[in-house]
Amino acid sequence: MQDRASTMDGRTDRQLVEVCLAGNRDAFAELVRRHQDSVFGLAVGMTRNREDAADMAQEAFIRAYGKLEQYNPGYAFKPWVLRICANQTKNLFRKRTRRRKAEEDHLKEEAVLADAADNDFHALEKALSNLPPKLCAPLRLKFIEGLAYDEIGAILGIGISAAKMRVSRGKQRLAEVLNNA
Amino acid sequence: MHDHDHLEQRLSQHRTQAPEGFADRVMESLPTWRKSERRGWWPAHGRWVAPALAGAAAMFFIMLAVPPLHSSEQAGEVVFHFELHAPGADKVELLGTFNNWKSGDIVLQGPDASGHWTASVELPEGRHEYIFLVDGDRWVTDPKGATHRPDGFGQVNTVIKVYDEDNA
Repeated sequence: MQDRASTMDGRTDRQLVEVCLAGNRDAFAELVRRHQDSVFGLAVGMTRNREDAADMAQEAFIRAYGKLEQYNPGYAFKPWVLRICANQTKNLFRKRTRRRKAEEDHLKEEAVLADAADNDFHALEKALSNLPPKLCAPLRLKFIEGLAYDEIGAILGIGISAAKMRVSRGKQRLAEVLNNA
Repeated sequence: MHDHDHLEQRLSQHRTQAPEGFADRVMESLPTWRKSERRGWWPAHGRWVAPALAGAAAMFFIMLAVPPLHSSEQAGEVVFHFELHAPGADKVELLGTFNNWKSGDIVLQGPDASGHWTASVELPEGRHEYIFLVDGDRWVTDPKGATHRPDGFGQVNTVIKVYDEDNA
């Protein structure tokens, strides 16, 4: 899948990382612009809350910047930063209590509605937000990000068969939600 | 009943866009320095394992044959990436305990398109203090440093503690 910003800068992610490691922050800004939607989308899928998702996505990029030396250029940058995002989002939920659930649900509805551009987009975004994070995140990674099951498993810390099962169940659940809308 | 192929197609065309100004906020929030590992000839991330093992074996035999060299003076050093946002500056210097507060010793490169000046500096492990000198006459405390300490002369230094992850 061609990322929307990649057409504005012909350099590959790997080249941008190298330039960034040489001290050029602008290269990292390009990486952020290139992958911000993917990282934010995953965070939305995992948190079901756009405010939390924006925080998680931002933190993921900051952490990625801090450990850029550890990035293995033999692998794609996007799954790497998605994995960072997934890990810290899971950590966030481990630390949190359930007291925020009602608040999150309220924010979720409000924010998603506010950003919806058209009916199709709105309907799908809302349906996705109604899926449990365990199903929504794999579904997004599979069909919106176009990742393979092994990549999904690595990002979410689950096995390949679990990734396949969750994608299948997520698709089934999504169809039900859209039918009932 | 929704056709699943159609649903997959809809999903593949769907994109949840990050909030407006997201990338700018990320860039503003980045730390002013970035810890990094020494970048040498040794392959990173476990690549080229076989050549590395062959090299290690060769080194073993060389060490048997040659008297030991002095250990590297750079052992225990960590590369730090310093950054300061100073879009209107003509020159930014870095002074600290690691260069005896010597002016002109470390000059940051920049500014880049977003007004940032940067320098990567090898620091020995331990505690360091530093401050930026802008245009030769303006002392600037690193605004993103976590720990600060007055220097007793009216300025405030930033304090960092540097440890190589292998030794921490």
